Amino acid sequence: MVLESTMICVDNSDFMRNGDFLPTRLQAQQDAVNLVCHSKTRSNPENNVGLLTLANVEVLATLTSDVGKILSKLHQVQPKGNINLLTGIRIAHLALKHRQGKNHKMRIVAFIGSPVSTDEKELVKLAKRLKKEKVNVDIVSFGEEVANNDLLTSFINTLNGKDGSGSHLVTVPPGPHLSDALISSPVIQGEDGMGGAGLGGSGFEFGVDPNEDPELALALRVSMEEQRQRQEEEARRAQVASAAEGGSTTPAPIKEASPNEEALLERALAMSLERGEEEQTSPAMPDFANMTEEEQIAFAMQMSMQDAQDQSATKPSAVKTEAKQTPMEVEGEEEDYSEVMNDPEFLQSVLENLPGVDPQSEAIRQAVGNLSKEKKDKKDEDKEKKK
Amino acid sequence: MSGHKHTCQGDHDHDDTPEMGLQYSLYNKIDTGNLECLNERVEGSGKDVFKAWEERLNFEKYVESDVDEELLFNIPFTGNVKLKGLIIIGGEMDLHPSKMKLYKNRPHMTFDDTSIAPDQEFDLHPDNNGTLEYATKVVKFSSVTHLTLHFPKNFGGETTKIYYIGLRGEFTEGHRHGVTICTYEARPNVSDHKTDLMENISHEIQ
Repeated sequence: MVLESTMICVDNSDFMRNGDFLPTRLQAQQDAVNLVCHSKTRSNPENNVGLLTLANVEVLATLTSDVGKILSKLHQVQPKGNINLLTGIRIAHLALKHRQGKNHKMRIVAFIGSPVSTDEKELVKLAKRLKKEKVNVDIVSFGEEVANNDLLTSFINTLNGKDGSGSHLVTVPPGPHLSDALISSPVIQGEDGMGGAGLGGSGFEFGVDPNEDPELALALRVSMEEQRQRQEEEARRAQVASAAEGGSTTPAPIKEASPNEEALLERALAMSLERGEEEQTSPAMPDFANMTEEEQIAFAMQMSMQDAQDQSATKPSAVKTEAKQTPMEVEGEEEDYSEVMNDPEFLQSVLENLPGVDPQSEAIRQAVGNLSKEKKDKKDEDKEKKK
Repeated sequence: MSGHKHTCQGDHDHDDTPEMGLQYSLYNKIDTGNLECLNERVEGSGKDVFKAWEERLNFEKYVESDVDEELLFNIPFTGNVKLKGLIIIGGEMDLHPSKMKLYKNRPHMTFDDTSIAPDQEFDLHPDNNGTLEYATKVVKFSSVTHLTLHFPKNFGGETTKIYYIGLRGEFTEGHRHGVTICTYEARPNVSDHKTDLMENISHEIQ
């Protein structure tokens, strides 16, 4: 959120007719300027942007926050003449000095696509002057980058000084993607990598504009996060379980649904049930949309307890990882442990590993037996409730 | 105009009296958020030289010039200042500034702007302890809201170093540019004073 006034210098020399950037260097440059303007205004609405040409140096637009004005002048630019970098930067600096927002930091963004014939000494002198006046310069070198590289590098290095990092040199090799190369560069990203958000293509996650409907976007993002976390936990438990018991099931196919809120929720629930589905005799998915949240939670709990129950009934060698599952993310960690604790098999194996405990002893067997009986009762209760 | 040394009668030690601390307290009245130093080598070091009198010999905090030997300070105040004197503690030997120009009430000056005639100019002498005070023409600097200090030259060094800048003077609260459009009414217009006081009368059961 830097408060900044930026002068954009475009190269409108004859070299811009070249077609190595599609469709022409001039057009590619225009797209790139568009990108820069929007990123500056987006990062802080009070930022100002101005425009000038580097060949036949002329200020096309004084510093303004109206991007439309910049773009309309930009489209009138025609290639003619040769670039004059020194004069261009000096005039850009002058325009910045006369900015209205005296609190704004000063920045020049120069697009250079033709060979620069200025003396290096002159450029370094100019760089020192700009450094004294705290002006940052970003240079986008494209087209003739090989020829200009040394010159521009020494310019930027002088400007940055020993530790500074306010000025950047971005070199773009020939190809169709001048704007794309810029998006990830420090010109757009700023110094902390912030500015790139929201740009590029349609740019928005989930097809929802965060500006139009921030709550929806947030809800979608949160549910995706939860789902991902749940997946990670499952993966973790699967690892633990498979280490203890060996083997793993293949997850049931996840239901694919069109990306809307309900469907996402449904999908998330399906994920947690996916392994349980194999066990179920009747894999009927109740209508989640009509259940309230609590009912959903209760239902999910039943499902996972049911799984645990089934597991204890079958042989230990059977490959079941469901018992270790978390019913629903919202329930938190306590549920996990209660499930795990209630699983008599798991308890048995743990007890076996404990030193000084004889699993065959009466006390243990009784405790474990009680546990399974409790679960059988609960299961019957639940089955009734379901109806 | 060259500065003149401050002569003190009596046998008090000039530097240690608590009065000096009180007198050189204008650093408190600087709007540090908008304080600007041009051509400083380390970003933000310009603010460090405006410290308390007691700290003036703390040579760990200083500002050094970067590209050449010039330094420019844009100092906005939080109110009106009557500037009476300055003390500059500069770097060793060649790094000490030799000339100082003062400009009043010109915000956001740059080096190009310093070609105009300053409000006052001083030839500085090397001072490493803060014993030399440069007195200003009080008439000129009686109502200063923004002060610019420009150090164009030094005693030959590549860069200029300054350890402490002390400002002596008086401070008055600035004129608050508050509401300048006001309407006077002989009788209040009820619709202008909407309040829900009438609806919020509490009824207690006794």
